Amino acid sequence: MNTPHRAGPAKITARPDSFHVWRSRKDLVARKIIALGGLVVIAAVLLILFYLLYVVSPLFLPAKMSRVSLEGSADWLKNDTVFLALEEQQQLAFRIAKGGEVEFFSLDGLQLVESTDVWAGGQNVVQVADDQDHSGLVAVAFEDGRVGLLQKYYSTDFSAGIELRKIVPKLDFPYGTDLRALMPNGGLTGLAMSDTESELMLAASGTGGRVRLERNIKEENLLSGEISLDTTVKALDVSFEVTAINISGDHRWLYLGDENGQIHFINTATMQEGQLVKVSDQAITSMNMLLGGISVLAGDAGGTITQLFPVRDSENQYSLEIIRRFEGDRSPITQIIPEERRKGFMTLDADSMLSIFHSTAWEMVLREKLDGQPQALALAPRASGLLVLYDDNRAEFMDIDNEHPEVSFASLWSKVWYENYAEPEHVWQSSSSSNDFEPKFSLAPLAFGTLKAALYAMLFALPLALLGAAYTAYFMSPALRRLVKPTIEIMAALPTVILGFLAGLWFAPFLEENLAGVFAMLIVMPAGLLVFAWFWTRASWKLKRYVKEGWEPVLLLPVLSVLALVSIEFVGPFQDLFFDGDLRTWLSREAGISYDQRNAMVVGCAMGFAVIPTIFSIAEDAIYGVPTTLSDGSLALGATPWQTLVRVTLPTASPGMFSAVMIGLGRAVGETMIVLMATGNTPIMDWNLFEGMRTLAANIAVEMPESAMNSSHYRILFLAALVLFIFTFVVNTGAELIRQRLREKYSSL
Amino acid sequence: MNAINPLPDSSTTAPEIAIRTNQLNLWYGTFQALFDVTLDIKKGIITSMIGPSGCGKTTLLRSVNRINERLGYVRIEGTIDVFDQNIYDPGVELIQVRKQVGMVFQRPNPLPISIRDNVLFGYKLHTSGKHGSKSEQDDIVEQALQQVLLWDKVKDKLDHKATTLSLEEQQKLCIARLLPVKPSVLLMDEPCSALDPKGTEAVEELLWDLRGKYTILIVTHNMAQARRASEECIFMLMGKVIEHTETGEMFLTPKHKETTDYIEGRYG
Repeated sequence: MNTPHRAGPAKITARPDSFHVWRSRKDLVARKIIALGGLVVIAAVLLILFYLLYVVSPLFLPAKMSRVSLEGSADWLKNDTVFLALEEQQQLAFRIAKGGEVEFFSLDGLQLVESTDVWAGGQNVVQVADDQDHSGLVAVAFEDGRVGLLQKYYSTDFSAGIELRKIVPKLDFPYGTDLRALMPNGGLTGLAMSDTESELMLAASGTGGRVRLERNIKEENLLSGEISLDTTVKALDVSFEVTAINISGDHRWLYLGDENGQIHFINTATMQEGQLVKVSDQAITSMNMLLGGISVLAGDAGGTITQLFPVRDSENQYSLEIIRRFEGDRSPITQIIPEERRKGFMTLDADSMLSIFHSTAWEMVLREKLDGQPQALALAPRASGLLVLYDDNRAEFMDIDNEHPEVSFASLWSKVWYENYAEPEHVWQSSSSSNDFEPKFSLAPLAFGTLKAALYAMLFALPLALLGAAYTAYFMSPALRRLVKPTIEIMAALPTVILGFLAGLWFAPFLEENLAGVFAMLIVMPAGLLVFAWFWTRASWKLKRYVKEGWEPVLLLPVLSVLALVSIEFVGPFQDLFFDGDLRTWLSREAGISYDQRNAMVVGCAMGFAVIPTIFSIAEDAIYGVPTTLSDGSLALGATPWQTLVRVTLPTASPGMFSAVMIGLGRAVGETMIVLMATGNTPIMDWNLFEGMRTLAANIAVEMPESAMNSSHYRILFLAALVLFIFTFVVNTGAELIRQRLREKYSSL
Repeated sequence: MNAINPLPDSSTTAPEIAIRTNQLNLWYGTFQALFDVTLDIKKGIITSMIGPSGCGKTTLLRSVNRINERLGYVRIEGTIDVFDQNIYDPGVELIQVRKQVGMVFQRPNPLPISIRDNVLFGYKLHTSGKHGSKSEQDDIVEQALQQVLLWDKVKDKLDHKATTLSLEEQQKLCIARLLPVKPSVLLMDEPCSALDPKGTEAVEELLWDLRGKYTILIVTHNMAQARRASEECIFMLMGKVIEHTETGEMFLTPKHKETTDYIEGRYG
């Protein structure tokens, strides 16, 4: 029929009127905006991914070394450097010459800046030992077996203006300039020194198996503040030639290396030959302590470096264990230089091959061949530069770009044998109060904690949410459903910080008090529900007519409340009878299950509570959306409602229910506030229901504010975020694929 | 106006009654959909129900296997006897009613499983535990599909999904899956409304074929179909039965003015 104001049907070729133009423009704009919106979302997600990759990528870039040419001539060094050190700003260097001269020189022009010749003249220097704590204290041993101590330090002078910062070297003799006789009759072959607040220890080895240990206990004069030393020297004569000597940072252990590749582990208190550890078939050629004075690094003539440290057994006995080996370049290791701030070290071998390793990461970071055999080399305190003096008086400086040596696949995901640990473990402990701490960056306990929290949350949420959804969509009266569904959906709007706060401060103490009661609820409530349901089916129609069909759940509310109350209140006698009065202590005593107040059960319930609305809502929609023609068909064949639900409705709704579960899982994995507040945040790897965990997300939230920008810690936190991102991405992609297949299988039309 | 018109007695003995409703009133909440419906539907023939939209014919049909009860707000007074058993009697098992009275819906609703499983679905529902051997099941599937004239078309693709069939085949399958349950009454709610003319013809042929073995009650909007494919015809209007008579008679000499008006297309 024609519209009244138009004479005939519109011609297709006719010029569109303004309304049509307006209409099609609106359509076009809407289409573009929607397309743009979609693209922006994809772009935003990709940007996040790329930003994470951008921050994380330096962790996995290889270290680099580049030569910087130095101006000026090093001829005046006269090829007699015995010891070389660099100052932190890499402007000044420090050296001790063979003749006993102590000199500071600038790298800019290789000019002598400061020198002293307190010990110059008489004797030649045979050994120099640096303090393990890198305090600047240096011990110098002379031919006759006497040792002197000096302290170098630097102060900054801004008197010429901030830009013209000048670093002024200083020398000090805190223990006097007098030489102390450590190895009578000379022949000193090895020297080690360690200085702590309470004690200065010196150890030396001499020809013929002579070992001397000098312990100086510091006594401070209360009035003058002057420090005097109470010196005792212990001698030990061994039957082998000592090739390397070191003392541990706590002064308890003396390590001696021999020509047979063995390390002698000696208690400094008794000074008797103790445990012998064979680390190699070849002679120990060089030995040094890693930062912190716990690990000893022994390099052998075959180029292998072995890391060892004392491990305490269950009877409090220490034994020296081989922790890990680093393969060198098959030439004898001549020098091991530990980094001053990290658990890394540099080695030099007889073939001028320079290698940088990191102990925790168990990785070689860098290897580079030098231009000849150096007379001395010094690593900058930040391990960012290297000064090399060659035999032909050439000086060379190298910039080292090695920001994140502590990260390797093994240190992130495998068990690592950390210092002071009895065995290899997965540990996350990113920081500590001490400077020589070994950071433990294992992501394994965090990933584990994430899965544990998600698993317990799903264990709690899945049955409740899915069964609730099935009931609501399929059995409940439409009027009640209209009430129940929005109510549960509103639960999703509850800020998780409130849930976490309630879980941590109310539910966790409640659970601790009423553990038996809560478990009793798990038994009493379902059982009581079944009993009540049975009675209800037997109830007469006179009673039943007061409750409309589909409204029965309302009847359950008081019943369940009473059952819960009964479980909590009257569990006492049963607890007395079966669990000696307290389930919690019974568990730890009888089953050896330890109990934390904020544990996986609290998290499971709280986070389960947070994911229930999501899962419920989506699953309910899926079940409700199954065409009634399908269930009608089944019912008309004489199927019971239950048969119809299980055989027709649920399979047809399964793709939707599956995505509900996956979205819930995604939420549980990424959830932060609840796990942050309701767990102890202890990064342990244990499935125990009564112990806490630390999740990737909570870890990022806790540590990101206190990590230094661009530090390894900072980047590893970003890596944790990337892991979380990839995990969610993989799970969601997999879920979508499975959902498509389910949909193909069960699509109804 | 619930007139039961005496039918011309074609046989010497009184015909057996399959479905008898007596003073049936039905409410959806407060809305009354059926008024004092009293009907006798004879065994073994096809009875069609016609009437304008909303006249209650589908409601009446759905009451006969109590599928209406899924909607919690449906209330019924009066009785429906299927083979002399009041199906609304408190002692009656709903499942037994539905086994006895199969139903085919307006839109083909095969389950999203294989053709074979669709045919066996009802059978398996009612045989607890063991569902018989594979060959027994094969026999059941073949028999049912033979009866609905579908066997030759689908015998090679029994494991295909039922939803891949054409609508006509799907509807036949929906009839076929009723048969292993061994119903005596088949209710059909506009079984051909989703089908094309060819499919309609095929299904009508099938119904004609099944006549005699089953009592078939069919709701249709299509008066030509009622005329072609039924032996008796019920005309309903506003929840009441206006006329129930032999099909030919109704279309040739309707007794009521409403019937005449409807048949001649003055409303509907």
